[in-house]
Amino acid sequence: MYLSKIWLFLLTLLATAALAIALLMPRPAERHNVAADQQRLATACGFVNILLTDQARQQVGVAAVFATDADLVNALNTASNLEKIDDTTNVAVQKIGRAMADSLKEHAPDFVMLLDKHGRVVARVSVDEKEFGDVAAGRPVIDDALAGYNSDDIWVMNKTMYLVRGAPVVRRDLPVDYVGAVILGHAVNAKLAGRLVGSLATPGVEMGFFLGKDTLAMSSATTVDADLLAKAADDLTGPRPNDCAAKPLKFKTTSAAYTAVVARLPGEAELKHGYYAVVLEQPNAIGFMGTLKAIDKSDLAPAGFPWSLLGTAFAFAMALGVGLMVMESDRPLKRLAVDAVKLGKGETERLAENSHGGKYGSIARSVNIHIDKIARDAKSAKQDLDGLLGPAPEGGLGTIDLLAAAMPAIRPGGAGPVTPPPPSEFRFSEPAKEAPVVRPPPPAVPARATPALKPAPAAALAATMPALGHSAPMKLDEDILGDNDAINEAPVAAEPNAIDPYFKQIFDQFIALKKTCGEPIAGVTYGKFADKLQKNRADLIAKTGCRDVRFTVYVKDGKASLKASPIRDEV
Amino acid sequence: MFRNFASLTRVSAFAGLCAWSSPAAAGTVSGRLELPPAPPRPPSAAHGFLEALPNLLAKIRVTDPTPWMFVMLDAGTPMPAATKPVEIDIIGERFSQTLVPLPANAELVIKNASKNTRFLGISEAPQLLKKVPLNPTNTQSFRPEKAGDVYTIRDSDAPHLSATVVVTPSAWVAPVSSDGKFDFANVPEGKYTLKVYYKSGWIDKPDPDQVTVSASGKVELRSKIPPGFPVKPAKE
Repeated sequence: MYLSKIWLFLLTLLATAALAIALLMPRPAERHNVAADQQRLATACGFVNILLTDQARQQVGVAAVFATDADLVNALNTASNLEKIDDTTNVAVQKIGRAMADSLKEHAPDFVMLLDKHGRVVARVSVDEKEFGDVAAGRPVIDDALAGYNSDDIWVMNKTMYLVRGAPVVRRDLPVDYVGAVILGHAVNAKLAGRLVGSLATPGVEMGFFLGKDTLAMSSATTVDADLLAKAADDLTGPRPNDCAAKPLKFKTTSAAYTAVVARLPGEAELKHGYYAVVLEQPNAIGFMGTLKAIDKSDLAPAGFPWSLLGTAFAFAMALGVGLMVMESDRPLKRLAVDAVKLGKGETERLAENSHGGKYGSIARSVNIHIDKIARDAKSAKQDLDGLLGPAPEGGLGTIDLLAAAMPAIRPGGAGPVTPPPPSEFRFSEPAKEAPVVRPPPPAVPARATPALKPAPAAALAATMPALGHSAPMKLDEDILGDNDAINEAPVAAEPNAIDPYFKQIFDQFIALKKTCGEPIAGVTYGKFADKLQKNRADLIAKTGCRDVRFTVYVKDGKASLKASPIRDEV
Repeated sequence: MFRNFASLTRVSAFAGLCAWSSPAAAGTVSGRLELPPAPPRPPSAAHGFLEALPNLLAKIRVTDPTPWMFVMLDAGTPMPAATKPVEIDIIGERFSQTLVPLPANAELVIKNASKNTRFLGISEAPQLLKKVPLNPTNTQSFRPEKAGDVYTIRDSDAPHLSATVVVTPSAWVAPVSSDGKFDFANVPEGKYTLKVYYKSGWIDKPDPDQVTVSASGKVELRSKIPPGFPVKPAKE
């Protein structure tokens, strides 16, 4: 059993470890997912920057083309020479600007600002159209345009963020000179954010533009923690392109948890705490049960799941377990059972202790010890009977029957079983070869209730005993006649005045059995028989202290025999 | 014909500045700075997603250093307390002067001539200029006391809107026109040193220009600025 226990321990340990692994397994996977999401966010953030840069390059090009329009060049050249911008000039230049903006269709800017060479606004389109003549120079993108540079910037006007592109307007007629600048502004709004997210092709990613704690535009209706994002943006240091590689931040709203990366916007927007954020909703931690639910057929397909390895491991574990059980339990038990059957059949007198190991050997030793004890008790009892009745002659009525007392012939309260009990599967002896014991029917004397029966003197009981009391288990019966011849040869006593019906019944059975056995019955009289029984009963009661004695007629060695069994009070 | 709107406003401001003192015995000092060749104007440091790209149709304009310059006559002695404020305006998206010389103890008055409300502040000395809304047509002022200090006035909502204020020990300061000319009027009789301030400090000249002004006299000066505009920090 030692190996089986070790194997059971190992299997339990393995099962526990497997369960622990199963419970823990989702966690690294979820961490991996989080890390992957963060990487996706960083990539998306960087890609947004690339898209915005690319868009800036395209729109600066548009502004540069815009600035080459001949009508615009002439109009701004004229305006630059005016001491004050008048309405006529404003209207004329505005008309040119509007026509050009409309020509761009879906790429049309959200505002156009046309300036003369001194930085004065000659005309505006779409935003503050009625204002003109003010000096807009001073903003870097305008100063750069007036100096000859194509550039871009991000402005914030009236809580709206604009991507601004500037280009110089050059008079190409001699003398070549700068006559003004064109400024195009594209609003940062949800449409732009949505377009950028669409270009990312990263499912689940949203983005938005912010100015401090104010959300300017979001690609979706996602609610974000702008305070947290603003703080994260303020904490960013170092070169702006490295912002996307910063550690993502996490925040929760009432509906979901998010991971976000923020990156500062360049130019004027940066000085005003402008930034954009890429946001990804965190997947829910599905845990062990969620992982089980998420399993689909493809996960269990033979191509993707090591069924053969699992089956081999199962078969190996099962075979090893069964083998250990057979080796340590089944086979020793079977050997013990076979040994016990042999003992029962009388083929052996003891169990083979040495052939059984472990606990089975201990069982065999215990059984042997008990067998030895029974033998000692039997020997002692026989010696006691020999002392009482004298040495029993071999054969005939003098043979001591050790096992005959196991079943009482007469039971209180009714007739006892007249037939032997059904044979059990395991027999401790072969069925008796002699004729079945003929047990007398219950005496005709009315039975008395045992609980009310008071102990009676042995002599008094001798007359009425057969119908009374319980037959307690007894170890010994005895052949009370010793030898039939003794009865036959004994002098015939006078017939008693009163015939004991029980003794008479036993006498009749005895005579009948002798006839059956072909024995002579001459000289066998009831008187002698009854005297013998009565004397024997008295002696046996005195010797054993039993309550009464039961007599049984049976065949032994082809001769009718009679044996006495003490009846003890039921405990 | 109007040539340079910024120069016009700058000269006007300085004319007001120099007129505050008119001693009885005073002369006039005029002159011209011989400027070294100016390099092409570099693009602004602040930009969007792209570095500024020069256009291909015309050469980039050269840098005009004069808006970043002023001259001063330094007598080397403590000057009398200023009695007249210096005024500058916010015009559109810029100050009328990018560089403002302000005599110690003189008051600087800033007028918002733009159409937007401004929120001005001085990062070096926030207590000098309280950050309150400066609505269009309104004014805001402060009075620095210590000569040599340099302050930057900036609008927190419009980072590009800034001006540098240099507190000078002398009341005789004058702007430099785009062709290098300058003029001082009503200069008291005495000996002076001509100093030129450029961007962030005084031009470091190996041979400082000495000026002697006589009563009702007129002095003509020509001063050569070393190549590269070498400067010494304003605070030494």
